[in-house]
Amino acid sequence: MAERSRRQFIEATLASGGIALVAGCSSGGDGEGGNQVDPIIGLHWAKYPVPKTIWQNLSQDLEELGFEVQIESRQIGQGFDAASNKDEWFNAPLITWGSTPSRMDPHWYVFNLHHSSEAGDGGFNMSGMENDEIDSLLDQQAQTFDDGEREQLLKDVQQEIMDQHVDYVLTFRPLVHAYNKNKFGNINKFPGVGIGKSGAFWTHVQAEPKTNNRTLVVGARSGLDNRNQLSTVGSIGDGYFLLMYDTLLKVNTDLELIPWLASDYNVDGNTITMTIREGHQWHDGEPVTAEDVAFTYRMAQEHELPGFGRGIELMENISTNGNTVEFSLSETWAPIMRRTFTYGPIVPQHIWGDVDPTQFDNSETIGSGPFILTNHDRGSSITFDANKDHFNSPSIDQLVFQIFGGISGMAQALENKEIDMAGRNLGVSQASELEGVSHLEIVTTDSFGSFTIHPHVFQPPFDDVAVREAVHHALNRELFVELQQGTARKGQGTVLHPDMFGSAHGDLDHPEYDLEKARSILEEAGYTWNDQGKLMYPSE
Amino acid sequence: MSLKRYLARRLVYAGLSAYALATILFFLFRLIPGNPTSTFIAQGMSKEARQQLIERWGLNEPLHIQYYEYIEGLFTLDFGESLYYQIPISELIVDRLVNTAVLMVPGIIIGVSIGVTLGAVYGWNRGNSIERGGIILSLLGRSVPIFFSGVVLQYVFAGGLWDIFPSGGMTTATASFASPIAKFTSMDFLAHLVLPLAVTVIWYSATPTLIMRAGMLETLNKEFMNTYRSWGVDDIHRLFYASKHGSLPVITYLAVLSGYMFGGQVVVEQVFSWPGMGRLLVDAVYRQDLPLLETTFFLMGVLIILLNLVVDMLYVYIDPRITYE
Repeated sequence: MAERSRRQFIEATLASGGIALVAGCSSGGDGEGGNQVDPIIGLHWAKYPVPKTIWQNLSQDLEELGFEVQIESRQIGQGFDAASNKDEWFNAPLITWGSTPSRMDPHWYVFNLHHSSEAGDGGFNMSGMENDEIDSLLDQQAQTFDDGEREQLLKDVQQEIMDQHVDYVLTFRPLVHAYNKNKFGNINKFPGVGIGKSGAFWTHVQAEPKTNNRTLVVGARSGLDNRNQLSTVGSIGDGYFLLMYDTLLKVNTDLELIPWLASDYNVDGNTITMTIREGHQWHDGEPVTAEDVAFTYRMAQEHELPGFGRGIELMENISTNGNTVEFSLSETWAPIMRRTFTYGPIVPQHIWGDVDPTQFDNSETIGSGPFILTNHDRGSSITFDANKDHFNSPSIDQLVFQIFGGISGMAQALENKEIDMAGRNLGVSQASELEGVSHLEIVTTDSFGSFTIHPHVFQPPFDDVAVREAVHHALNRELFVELQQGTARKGQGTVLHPDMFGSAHGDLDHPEYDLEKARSILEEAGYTWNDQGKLMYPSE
Repeated sequence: MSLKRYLARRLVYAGLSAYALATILFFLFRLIPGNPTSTFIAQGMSKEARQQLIERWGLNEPLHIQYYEYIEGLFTLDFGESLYYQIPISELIVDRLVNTAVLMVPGIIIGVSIGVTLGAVYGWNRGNSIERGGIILSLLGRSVPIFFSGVVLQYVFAGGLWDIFPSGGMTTATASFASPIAKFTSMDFLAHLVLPLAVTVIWYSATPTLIMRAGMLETLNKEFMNTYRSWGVDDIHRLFYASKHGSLPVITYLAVLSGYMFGGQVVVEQVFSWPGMGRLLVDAVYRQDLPLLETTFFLMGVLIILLNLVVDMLYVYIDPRITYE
């Protein structure tokens, strides 16, 4: 665990000292018998109002159970850092998990948040749980290509994880967008992402104009400042990139894996064969070939290009035969299908073949995807023409992203019909202001990211599974949904959203809100309450 | 002391100030808790990738080496790469600087011109209702937060009451222009400019008005103004002479103001989605994009230092009593 800084140490000492004084105890307690239970110290990001409100409400119930509760808030970067380093000046971080086009496979959430390899400093296993049984199931699901078998393994591991009470999944985050329903129809959500964001691929490809104006103008957060997504660390600009560049496979709006640039694919043991679509062209008119595909993956491997993420390093051999590409993997890694092959953009060899891909500025940005970049006004707007020669060509003629500094400016422009769609999350309150506007349709999508508290299993009081279970019963999720104007989806014991492959949401026998039950669990485990109603550790 | 020697001495001072500024910026931004990779960890970056990134950015090097490379970069005008965008900083800021300038330069020039004129008039009309009314208006202009006046103007002129001007952006997103000059002279651009410019002008005219008025009052009480009057100099000319003397503090203020110009008016840019420097800077702070922060604040500081130098030179022209001694 991370070494605590002097300031954090003082903070923690003062905090526990203060509690000790209040309770009239001799020490702050280290989980020792007969002492008052250590306080629950929550953490959330200052940026989001919902977690703060959730904590305020939750702490009332926890205090009723006899816990002391403190709430800390930090900037997102700093807070995430502290949480992933398992800093000890808090013991119950409320993480605002995100949802991106690169997280379409359940592996990201289920493995990273629970495997012991992620429990150390900088890992995503925020509760610090290390459990051999869970590790083994997590490894097995990753090594199973068969969808049916994998699904069962995923469900089993979610039950095991829930029994450890390390994820308090409160709600999934509501993403609220809106569009001009008089001008465009057939607006489909990209699962976990919503409509309008650059990463909401299907919205843009499937949108149908209802008037003669065939240009869809979308309000956006950020531009396309970096044109070389392949060598870019982080997910900056990946949505734009996936509009311009094809991937071998895609997940559709029902989250099924479908062929894309590969018209067919076959998995045989650790060999994956992709048949590349014939007659498809790059934006400059050159044909897209199997060689381009093999070249892209070889280049990504050779230069360890960060834009592809995990999976590349497992490709032992990449070979072509006519219009097929064969990937031989050194080990089975099931997420490669939904993660790597739906996210890694295929680039043309005739452009990237002679350059250093880590330094290349890619100013022409020639892809083969359904949209062609025609103009980029830095910080202001990005314009794409529809690629009418694409095998899945868009119905609209032009797609424009106009960049807005703030949500309210974008909402105003939407109301004034200056733009057709909000590509940034309007948030629940801003959206309610737009509700009466006659030309707008409001679309709410569940993010695959959730508001989840991950209690530190390595610190009192959460080092005792009974405490974790009791607190699990103190979560009034109905209320947390209400706090988000009823638009959020309630969590049910697993971090996997119900739409996601292998999710056990709804199947798990998860703890319901029941303070009496919580009390009796604590009682059975030997906990007592002092005169002031404060919870005391079991005596030896 | 000759002008040349004075200038040489001031340039040396300016150089030292710039160096001190660069040093302060370097250490200041490293005091922010967390580190620049924090932005990426929230996006799901693995710890190995983070470590690689820290090495790639040289953040694992000892501080004195980082400092040396940073100062060397400033001297050679190689500002490096933005950590977040991962492209050269010069590429990132040039367009946005131009966008900021086309709003802020006219905004400040018009604002200060109006301010100076109003201040002179108020000072001249000391004690009567023109002055009293004017001061109230100026104080109002100074006190109403920009986001508020921005939103009010948006409501009144961009949709709420009348739909005359666009609510935000610099041009219509679907418009295309043959050249930057065509863009900045187009009606489309000018229509987008009106509201943010109006807010900028209101804000930047208020302080010069008050400063100018105070300067006028002081000058008008001077003996030489009476002398002018006894010579029979008419009101208009006396107003002009008094204004010239009264404007010295405004010019100093202008130099400082011009530094802000570089950073853009963050709030105006936010309210009107103006694609300028302001938003880039705000995001850079959140993302701890150290090179981007250091470069932009450094350039901003250097601009202020240089403009102060220019102002000191101007003083001599405006007020012959000031010499290089």
